[in-house]
Amino acid sequence: MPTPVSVLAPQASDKSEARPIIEVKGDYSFWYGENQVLFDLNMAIMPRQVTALIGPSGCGKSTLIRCLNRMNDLVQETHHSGDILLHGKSIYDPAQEVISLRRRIGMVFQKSNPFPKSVYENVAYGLRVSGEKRKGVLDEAVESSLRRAALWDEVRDRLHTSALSLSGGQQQRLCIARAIANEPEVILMDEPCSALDPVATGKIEELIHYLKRDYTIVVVTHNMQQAARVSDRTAFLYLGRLVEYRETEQIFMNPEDPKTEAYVSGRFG
Amino acid sequence: MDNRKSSQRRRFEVRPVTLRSDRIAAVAFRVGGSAILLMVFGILVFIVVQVFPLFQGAKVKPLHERSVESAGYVLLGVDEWTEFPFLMTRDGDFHFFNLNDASPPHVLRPEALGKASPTAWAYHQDREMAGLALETGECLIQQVAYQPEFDEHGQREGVRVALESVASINSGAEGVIHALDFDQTERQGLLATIESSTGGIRLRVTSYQRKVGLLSAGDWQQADSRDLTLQLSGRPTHVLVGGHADTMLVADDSGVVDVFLRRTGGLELIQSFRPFPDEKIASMDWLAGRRSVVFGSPQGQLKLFSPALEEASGQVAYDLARELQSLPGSPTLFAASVRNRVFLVGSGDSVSLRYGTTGAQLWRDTLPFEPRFGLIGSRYKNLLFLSEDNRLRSFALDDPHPEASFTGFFGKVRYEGQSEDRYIWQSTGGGDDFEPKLSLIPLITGTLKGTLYAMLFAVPVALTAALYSAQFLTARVRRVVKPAMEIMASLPSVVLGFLAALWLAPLIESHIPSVLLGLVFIPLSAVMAGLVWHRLPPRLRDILPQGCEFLPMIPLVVTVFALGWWLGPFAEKLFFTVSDPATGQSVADFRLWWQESLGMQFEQRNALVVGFMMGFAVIPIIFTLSEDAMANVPQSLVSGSLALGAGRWETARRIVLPMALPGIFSALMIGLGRAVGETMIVVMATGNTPLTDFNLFSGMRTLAANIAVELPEAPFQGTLYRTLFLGAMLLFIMTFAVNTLAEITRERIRQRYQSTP
Ligand SMILES: Nc1ncnc2c1ncn2[C@@H]1O[C@H](COP(=O)(O)OP(=O)(O)O)[C@@H](O)[C@H]1O
Ligand SMILES: [Mg+2]
Repeated sequence: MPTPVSVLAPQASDKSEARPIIEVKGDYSFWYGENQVLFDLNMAIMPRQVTALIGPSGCGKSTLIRCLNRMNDLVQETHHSGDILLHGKSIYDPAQEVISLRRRIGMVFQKSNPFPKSVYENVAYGLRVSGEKRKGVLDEAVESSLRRAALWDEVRDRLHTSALSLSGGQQQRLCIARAIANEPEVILMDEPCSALDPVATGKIEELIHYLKRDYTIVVVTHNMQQAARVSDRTAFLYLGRLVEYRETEQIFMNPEDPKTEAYVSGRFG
Repeated sequence: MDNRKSSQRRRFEVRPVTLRSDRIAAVAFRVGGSAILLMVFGILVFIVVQVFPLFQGAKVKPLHERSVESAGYVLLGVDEWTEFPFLMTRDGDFHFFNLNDASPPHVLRPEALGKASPTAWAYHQDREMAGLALETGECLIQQVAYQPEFDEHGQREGVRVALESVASINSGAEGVIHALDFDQTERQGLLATIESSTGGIRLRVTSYQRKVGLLSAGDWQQADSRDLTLQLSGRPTHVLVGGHADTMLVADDSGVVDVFLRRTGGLELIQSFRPFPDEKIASMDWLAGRRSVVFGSPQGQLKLFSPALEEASGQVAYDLARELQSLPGSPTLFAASVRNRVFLVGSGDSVSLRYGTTGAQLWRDTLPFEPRFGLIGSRYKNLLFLSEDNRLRSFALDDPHPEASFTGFFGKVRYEGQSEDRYIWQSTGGGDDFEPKLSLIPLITGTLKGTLYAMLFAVPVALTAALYSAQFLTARVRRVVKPAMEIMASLPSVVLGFLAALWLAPLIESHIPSVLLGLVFIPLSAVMAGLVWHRLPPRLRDILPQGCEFLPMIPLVVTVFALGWWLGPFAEKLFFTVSDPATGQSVADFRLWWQESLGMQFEQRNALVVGFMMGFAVIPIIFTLSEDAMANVPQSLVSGSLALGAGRWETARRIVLPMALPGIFSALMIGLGRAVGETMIVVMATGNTPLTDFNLFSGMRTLAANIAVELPEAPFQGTLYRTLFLGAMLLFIMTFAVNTLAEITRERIRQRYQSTP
């Protein structure tokens, strides 16, 4: 029976003094109906870092990441114990509007899901639903988001064609641009590259690396190399439990837990 | 080795059974699909074949021809079958000819005539009566009696003819009568004569009557005789008597027509008019029924005048019903059909058949001979002419649907007795001279009206319900709601119609202000509740789990409806108080108010009831189809929207609705198609009155209901029968147009919002 691992504060970094932006605490557990999926999690996510979630299929990575912006509210009959704090405030606080929570914690899905609208409208969507109507503001936001998502040069001439005409990798970067346009603090990415070819994957990884300067990123990945390449810290989940959560280098170089070692060396997964 | 290879090969082959069943399935689908297409096409062809004869003109073909000895004939008449026409000589001999051979005529002479020759004559084809004036001023009314004779097999062998005296009236004329007309009902008759005497040309009217007992009628007795010349503005030239022997029209040489009406004190001049402002009157003749009259001018102009009740004076007056296409010259030939409102008119050798009411020209030809007399066979199957070269020529007339015309079906028509052009559907009526009125406009209007009110009620309810169910409702409730709605869709419409007619209609009728208040209150309260809910602090809102927000709505809606119901009578007192025209007292009654204050019709079975009930028939269809469309919007897009901080409503508005639009659109169209074609509810829940208004509180008759109501009574392949098929064709076209339009629009929308496959 694996025991819960307490959060290890990052040691050799000037960011170590920073307070965590998101804290999962109080032995956070989560159930779909009767089925408990997450067990006794406690972890802190540091600002402006890339946190990777790894673990075998079905271990609850997506569930955890979806808890962070309460997307699991859409699933009927779920409940949880413990708490998740954003800047020290519970995201479950009744005073906390889900809508504003989701604006602060953006999300990119496993399969790219651009709206069947123009490229422009996709990026402007978040602003539009928050009531922004000024064309100048929208134009500017669209351009800067697309630039930051490294997509601007590719789509500047077809802003008003359907987003569905973009390639798979472009669509995924468009979804990132769409999330960025809301100026979130955290971007959650659930296996953003799983459906992409290596070239597109490389571009997204580059992008993650670059976005780290402005945003806190939590990325779920199946791909060990990817986790090693892009993340600062890595959490290894196994059967809904957090087995090990440390700096990426350490997880990969000298994992503490034998299960982690087995996993990262590819012995199961 | 070899064995392994072949088994290897077999691994990649599709099993023959699979291939065969695949092929059979493909053939079966193809056959089934084409069979359905063929069937639809076949139905369409059948309908078109039924409708087509309506729009065919009359066909006229020569039938018989024989010569007659030229004996200065002055009058032409014929039997019902157009086989034994007669010609009257100037001396008063009636020559009966057999059209089938060249045998010499059978000659008869009215007994009362003696040796004298008539000076004027008139023949009424409908009653087969001739009126002859003598020099003495006496007028003989003779029945030309054709009695068909049958052989032992019941086949008509021939016709026996006789001349029977009906009445002998002394007109009191002092000069020589040169024109006369008469008309008589069972009990009274009216005779008008124009005579030239030393005192000039005079008009004289004689009325006569008889007593009619239970078994027999007495002899005609002369009542009185009057000289009306002084009331005229010119010298009389033509006279007509008609309208059940109580109307007389006199044309004079100044071009004025005077209308006299029988009143208790005798004939009274009620109207004078000029049919042609600058021309005289060359001819003046009745149409069948002896009410409407066709005037011809020397230039060949033709005008139809009909009597109508004038709203202002409450008097009957003639006015112009229709200007008809002109003739090349002064009319020389006129004969009205006795069956319908067709008349034969000609100038020289150019003759045509016209339909009086619509003015439609059914047939026109330049004859190879100059007709002196002509008439339309009493069965409307023949034309008969006596040509100037003394030949009798009969023609077969094939025109089964003279009253059918594009104008009649879709245009405004002024029917006899009406004071304006109107759209009327009235297919059957009492009386021999009833003219069917077959305007489809009231039926089309009724269809649109029923559909409009049903959709007005159903669309908002069904679409909002579908949206709520697809996007907001908790899955557990949704699993119940959806099948329940589907069951509702399969409710037989006769049950709905029954409920509407026997329960809803009387209930609504007595509580209209309450119902109206409910209609306003319920949506209003829903919107208000939404606003309040929106303002509520999240702490309070979180008490209800997401998707269960409808729960507090239920008591709210019930309360609000009850409030509206309770407030209804007060509202009625406040707004709908009106003085009852019967008692003069002021009463609070919406029905009276609607009629009195707005001048609109009120019926118990009205469009409101139909809108409700047909709405109930349509709601489940629209609901299920559009709910499916909305629920089928990919969840990934909904999640994507929510993850961007959009609320559920924003997501519904910006993502779900646009993407589901093609599906919603076809749902609406299928619902519309159902409403357009719905029959039972409309038949039962309306009075089936063919109206052309969109009054919420009057009934309607739809195309579909009309077919259901009238087809059982319509004679096979008659005009009504075919007209009903024309209605069916319109219905077909309407639904076809709606569906095609829907499909095109749907494709357009789909292309715009198509997501990646
Ligand atoms: N919407 C859901 N309803 C019920 N069970 C779910 C749902 N989503 C995921 N699960 C269950 O939760 C467990 C974890 O799933 P998930 O978080 O998707 O794992 P991972 O993303 O690590 O592959 C799985 O056993 C899965 O069956
Ligand atoms: Mg997953």
